[in-house]
Amino acid sequence: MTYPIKLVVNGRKFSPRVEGDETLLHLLREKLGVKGVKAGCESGECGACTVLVDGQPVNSCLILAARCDGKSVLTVEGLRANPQMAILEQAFLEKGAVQCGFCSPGMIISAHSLLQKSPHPTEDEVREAISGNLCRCTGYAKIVEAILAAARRMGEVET
Amino acid sequence: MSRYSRPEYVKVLTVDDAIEELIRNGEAYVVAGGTDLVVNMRLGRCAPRKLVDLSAVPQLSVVSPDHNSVVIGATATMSRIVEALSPWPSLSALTTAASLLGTPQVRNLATIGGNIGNASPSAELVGPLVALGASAVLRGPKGDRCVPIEELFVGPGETVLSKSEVLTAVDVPIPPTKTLTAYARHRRTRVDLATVGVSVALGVTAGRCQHCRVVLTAVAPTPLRAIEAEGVLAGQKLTEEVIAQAALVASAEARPISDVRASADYRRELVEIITRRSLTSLAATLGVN
Ligand SMILES: Cc1cc2nc3c(=O)[nH]c(=O)nc-3n(C[C@H](O)[C@H](O)[C@H](O)COP(=O)(O)OP(=O)(O)OC[C@H]3O[C@@H](n4cnc5c(N)ncnc54)[C@H](O)[C@@H]3O)c2cc1C
Ligand code: FES
Ligand code: FES
Repeated sequence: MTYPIKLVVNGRKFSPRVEGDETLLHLLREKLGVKGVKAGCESGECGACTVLVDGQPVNSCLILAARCDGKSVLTVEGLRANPQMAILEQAFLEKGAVQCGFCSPGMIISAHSLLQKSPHPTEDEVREAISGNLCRCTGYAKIVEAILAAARRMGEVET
Repeated sequence: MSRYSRPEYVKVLTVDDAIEELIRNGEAYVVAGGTDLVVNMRLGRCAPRKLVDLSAVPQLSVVSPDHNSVVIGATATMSRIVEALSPWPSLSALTTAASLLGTPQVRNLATIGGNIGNASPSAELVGPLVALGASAVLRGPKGDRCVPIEELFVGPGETVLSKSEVLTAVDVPIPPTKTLTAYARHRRTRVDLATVGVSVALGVTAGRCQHCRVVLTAVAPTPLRAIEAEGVLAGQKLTEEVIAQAALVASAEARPISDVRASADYRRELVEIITRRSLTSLAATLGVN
């Protein structure tokens, strides 16, 4: 049995059919070709699959696709046109916050979500915001530095 | 394709519709956040024939505090609970537990109803709810019933809910003035289930312990009230000695097992230390030690 749903992914409308137990992660990667969403543990632990659903960061490996009927989903691809993304991306590159890159899409989504809610975060807030995103390469210090640097630069652009 | 035939799915708009689905299909499961159920399905730990999604029932996610009690809808998420109830210092045990559960992403999905329904011995919210004297509101084909959280659990993964009952809300009485609550737990890593959880509620009148509850989690098949430790505190001045004695008694009341997370002995020791620290810090905040 499959079910027709409608959802908006990165501003584009889709009307796929989904299985009752299909996850949003599976729908995005295997049916809609949105490969920026990474499949890591598929158990909610690594955060590589993090997306925003109606503005909230969630693990796409845990949320059922059928539940996302009528919802709006943002993945790292959807940030391409976002001017803040360019700043965040640049900061990640400059600070060496990317090594193998597998965690980066999820990390960027968590960082973006934090900076939307709290444009001038403290280091503790940054660490808390990415606490659901595992990185096996960098040791996190560079990632935290990059997010703090991006926040400062966004502040300068504003003023 | 998949190993087993895949479940049907229905998104209900009312609790009564959910109950009808549960009656019609004996192997239907309700799903709220899915943070336990989706993982369990993937690992083959359960194979529902039908998923009854509660996430779109509007009233179920409401958190409504008033003077005497807070009614928390079953699908209220951890993020929602923390946001709505942080202004109530006396509910600190509950908001602390909700803010410690999982990761930010998980907290945006995980619900209070799912945390109770999953009935894990280390479920984060259960100890605080017992310490607060909360009750679960259950609705089934025959109507509503109200069960104290303390009496809800039968064993790991098992509750008194019948197959066609849905937990609709949790009713948490607001503790009287001069009563504070706290939750503390030990876990090995940032994202792990608790090895030991200790929830305490402490109320004082004229410098003496007037009301107390000490609830231990992850050290027995179901949440455990340390009744004897509570007895040590009742009516007493909260001196260092009384608190140390209560903590020692609590650790003797625990019935832990050894597993991948910790040995039984280590768990007992943790109970004593965490109970002592929690009571000491509450007594200090209440200004009575
Ligand atoms: C990475 C990760 C970390 C986690 N960390 C923690 C942690 O630190 N502490 C902790 O306690 N838990 C943790 N969990 C487990 C889980 O997130 C919680 O137990 C959560 O509260 C479950 O809620 P849910 O809405 O997602 O439940 P679901 O998965 O939707 O449901 C769980 C069970 O409860 C039943 N159920 C759900 N709602 C109802 C209802 N209203 N009435 C009757 N039955 C119902 C379902 O049928 C199912 O059997 C973690 C999970 C993950 C993936
Ligand atoms: S793939 Fe979803 S959290 Fe790891
Ligand atoms: S850069 Fe490799 S996992 Fe983070």
